[in-house]
Amino acid sequence: MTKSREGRELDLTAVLCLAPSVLYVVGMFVYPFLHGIYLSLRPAKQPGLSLANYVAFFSDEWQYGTIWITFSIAIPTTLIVVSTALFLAYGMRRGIRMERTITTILVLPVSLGVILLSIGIQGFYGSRGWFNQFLVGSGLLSEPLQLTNNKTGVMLSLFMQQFPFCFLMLLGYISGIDPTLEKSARTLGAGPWIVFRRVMLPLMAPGIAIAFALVFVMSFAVFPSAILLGQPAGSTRTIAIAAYHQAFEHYDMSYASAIAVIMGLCQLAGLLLIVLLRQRMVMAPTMGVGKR
Amino acid sequence: MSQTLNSLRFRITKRFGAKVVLDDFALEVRGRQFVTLLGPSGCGKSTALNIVAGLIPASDGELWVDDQRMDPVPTEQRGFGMVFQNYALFPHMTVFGNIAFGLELQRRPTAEIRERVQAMLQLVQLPGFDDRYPSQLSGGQQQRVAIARALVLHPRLLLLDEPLSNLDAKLRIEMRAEIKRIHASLGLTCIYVTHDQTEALSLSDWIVVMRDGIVMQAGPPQEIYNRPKNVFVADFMGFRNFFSGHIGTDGQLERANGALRIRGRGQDALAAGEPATAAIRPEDVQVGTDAAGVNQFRGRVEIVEYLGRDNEAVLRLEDQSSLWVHTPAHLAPGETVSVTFPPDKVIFLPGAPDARP
Repeated sequence: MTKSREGRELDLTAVLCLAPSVLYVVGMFVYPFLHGIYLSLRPAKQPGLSLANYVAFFSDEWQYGTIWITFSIAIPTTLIVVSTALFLAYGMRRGIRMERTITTILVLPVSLGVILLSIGIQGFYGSRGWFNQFLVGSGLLSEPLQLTNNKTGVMLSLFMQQFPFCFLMLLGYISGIDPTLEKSARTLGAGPWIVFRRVMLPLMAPGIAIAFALVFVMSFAVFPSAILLGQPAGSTRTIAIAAYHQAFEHYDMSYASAIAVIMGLCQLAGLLLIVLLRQRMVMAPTMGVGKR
Repeated sequence: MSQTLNSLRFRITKRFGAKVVLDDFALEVRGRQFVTLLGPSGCGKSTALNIVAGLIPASDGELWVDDQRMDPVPTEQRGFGMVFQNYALFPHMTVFGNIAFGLELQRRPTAEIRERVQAMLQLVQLPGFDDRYPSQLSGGQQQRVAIARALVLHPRLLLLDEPLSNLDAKLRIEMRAEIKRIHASLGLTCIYVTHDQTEALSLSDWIVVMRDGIVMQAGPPQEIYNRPKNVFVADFMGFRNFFSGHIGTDGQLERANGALRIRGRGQDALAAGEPATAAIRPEDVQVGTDAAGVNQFRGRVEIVEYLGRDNEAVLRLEDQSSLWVHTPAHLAPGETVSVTFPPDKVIFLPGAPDARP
């Protein structure tokens, strides 16, 4: 027992117990991922391994422009979703009246699926939807607001899909923090803002970072909403749409794989940024006077 | 050293929905006094402490410190220190950071903060622990840091909510002495909440025994221990044997079935014919005295447990009531022995035994 704990001798039982998960990770993740990279390096138009697909992507503005389009949708969406969810979850950390009802209403959109949700948004916020009919009909506006078939529409849809789970995750995380910490901070002279900034925020930081990471990655991969509620041939032509075009309209799997790899690298860059920011955020409030 | 407080007075009622947790609970604490709220869980003692701290609003009532009404003042401006059962140290701050927290909020100069934190670490006997994180400390050390963190602000009142309940038995006794030492050396005013009668007796100048949000008895420890006023307090103070009956014409307690007559102290307050309960602690029962006298009964030994210093035995008396005794004598189950209740060790309490929880 002690030997295997020190890692000097392999424990056969431990290896066998680990095997299913290792097989799963290799089969479902590592192999497809490596195969995708391999595919991306074998362009359809020329034989052998080459970076031709990547060169093609980055020399065509129509293609590489999708990176900025996607970031310009994913970053604001992530910031809005996480900050709204954090604000509400923090306010609800000690429980509120009718919590279950409110939670159910919040979670409902997730269970409907993206397509139904998008059709609903189109119907409600579209130029002839109820929302605009009300605004124009009541004389508040003379022209309907353009809320769909642009970036706003896509972000609206992403918000509704991602807010509920982000909110629930943060609520679970925050209500797991010992409430007596807050009490003790108050008896030491901390008002609500100091309690939030110096005690709760550093303790919530890991949860907030996870929320940022998950929402960002999912927003970056936006696809159905970008088609149904955006302008898929223009302002909301995200990188996922570009990959889809190559794969299922031009039937160039190799080029599509290259785009998918680039997309993955962009997501990785986003995650790295979140991790770096989190480290800075946690370090700052722990610095005592004259110490560390 | 601490800001002085002459008196703290409150009278509070707290309801959670229809449930009354504190029913017009009133208390006055004088400066430098150590007052303990003692009672079983759910008696409202912690709620009372949280209301004094301002962490829970009272449903009704007032809280005064000297001439100042405190109940509308938010917690952070009351200047009361508080120590919690689970220590509640900030896990993301070092020991230094935890103790310095309140001083930093007061924007004290760096040098003063350092000096005061070091002085506190000396006081709680943890010098050199500045850079440790709470997770690297034992329970007892964490509670010392929590006490230092509250005391460094020189609070005019220190509230302690079962501060020793999470510690093991040995550490609890050590920390109890520590709290007593700090209270005496700093001249603190303390309100202490516990369910442990030993802690209450050893630390307090004044004990308030509570049950269901009502004060059952309040007084100095010796009075609470020696002269409990009712069955509930007696039970809490270690009286295990209760005999219900009524006061006879000769002032003795007569059991309902007439089999036992018990003489004791305190019967003067009770008129003949009134229902009453006689109580005696297991350690006050004398086992094996053969000289015929008052309060001598015979009992059959049922269970014997070895406790180290003595034995605890459960006896069945002639009238079928059971009796707990502590005796150094070696008893064997099944044997019949005579027991004596020294009359000055038997107290008479008003009311029937069903008043006992």
